[in-house]
Amino acid sequence: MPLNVLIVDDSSVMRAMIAKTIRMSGLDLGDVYQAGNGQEGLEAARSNWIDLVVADINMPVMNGEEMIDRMKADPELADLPTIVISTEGSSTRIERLESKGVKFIHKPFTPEIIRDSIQALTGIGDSNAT
Amino acid sequence: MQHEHSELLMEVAGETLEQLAFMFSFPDDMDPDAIWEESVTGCHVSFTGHTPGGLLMLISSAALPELAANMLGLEEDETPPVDQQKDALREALNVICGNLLPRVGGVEAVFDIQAPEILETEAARSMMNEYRSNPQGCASALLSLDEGECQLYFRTN
Repeated sequence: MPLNVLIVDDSSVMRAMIAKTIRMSGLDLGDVYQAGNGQEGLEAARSNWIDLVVADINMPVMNGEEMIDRMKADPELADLPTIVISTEGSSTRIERLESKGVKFIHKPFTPEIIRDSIQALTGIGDSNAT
Repeated sequence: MQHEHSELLMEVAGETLEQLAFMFSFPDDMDPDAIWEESVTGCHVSFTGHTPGGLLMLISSAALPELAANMLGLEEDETPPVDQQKDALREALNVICGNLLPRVGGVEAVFDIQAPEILETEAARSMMNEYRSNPQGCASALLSLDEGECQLYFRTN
């Protein structure tokens, strides 16, 4: 089943990098939706069928952590698998994010890290696997 | 202390450019002012929290298309638009800063990294002079790239 992904990052270059990296990882990718901040991300998540959210933390308007908190408070979005891809280096903050059920990936990342994290979070296997 | 931070800065910047944009860099022992012989684009990021400060990146404008194109995975004959080149520079500096701070302050230290800002040539030169005006409190890394040079200046308040 193709994976519909919502990528939330204020950098259009980073959104493109993440989308390309997911495609390179061998996962069966469906529609890719993009948002430039947490507010736009919430709106996109509510108006599209999304299987996975990939979000940054430091963003204008609404940061990634607030977006995740609002998703958790919304019964329709609470169980949506979420990966945070960020430059955040504080173990305190990373542990706080992980306690909310999200998977944390540090920038820069490799296709293998993205693939393994998505597989671990969604249980969706590699479509290219033999 | 600043020497130690300069080595860290060199290491983190080199690793980030390689991993993020497949750009290989080497320590540059040329005159630091030689970078101004060509067009330069600057980017600056401030941070607060555990130890407030800032990080300035200067890069030969000729290297920007390669930085952005590599990050986007474009073909060699494709040139990304200028706004994407600037976005790529902001993101590269953001990643360098995010990887540098835990190595300076420790992984438990909490920093708030502000949004990086692009500086055109004169503003970049002025900011560089401000950093260099206090050499004891400023770490620096000078890197040579395939297309031009890259300089980083780091300080804590």
